[in-house]
Amino acid sequence: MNLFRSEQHARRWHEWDEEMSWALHPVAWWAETFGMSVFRNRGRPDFLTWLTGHEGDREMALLRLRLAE
Amino acid sequence: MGLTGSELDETYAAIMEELVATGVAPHYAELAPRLQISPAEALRRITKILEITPGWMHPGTDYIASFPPFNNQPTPYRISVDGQQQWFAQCGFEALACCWLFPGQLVEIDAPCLLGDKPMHLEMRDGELLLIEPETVVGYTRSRLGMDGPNQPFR
Repeated sequence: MNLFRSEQHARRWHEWDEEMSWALHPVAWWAETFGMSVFRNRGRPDFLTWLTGHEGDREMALLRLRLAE
Repeated sequence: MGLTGSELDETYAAIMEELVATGVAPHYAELAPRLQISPAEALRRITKILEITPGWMHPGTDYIASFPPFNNQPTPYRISVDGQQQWFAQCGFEALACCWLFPGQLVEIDAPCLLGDKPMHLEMRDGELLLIEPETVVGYTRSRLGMDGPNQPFR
């Protein structure tokens, strides 16, 4: 889970795997992904209760959907 | 005896607060007096938390190695807050999530290029990308973001 200077840099990385090319996105896309509630709420005093509860389940489903795009 | 949600919440919050304040995750023996529990109980709680979040102990030890979005061991992803470099992110993606723990503050991400080119520099505040150098920065993983395990929600 790395950042690269450009798509060309990522594709020249020795660990590049074409089967995982779906995971190549502009950094803004990953920033939006890691801005979803499951990441944004880590500062909540009840974070684990939230994460493992109904609302957390729903937000995890949304994260899965986004990563399946 | 099982752990309650509030016990885990309290422990998670205490670890995260220490990481945010210092950049270092507490050892279970340091955490215990803060929570007014025994060291063994603190270790039990940490172990449980790392089962249900994408963090981990350093192999063969009972030291927290990673507690996302932060890493207790240095990584290439250096995090600075208001100009102070004191934190490391677990990975390039988690580096983008660090800003949520410093609301209203300027969070900078500095990372080397894995191919030996010039380093990258990003600036964020409250989730907004304020600066991307170079503008062409991308994220990529060759590892599937494993979410099949019921206890590993987004590892």
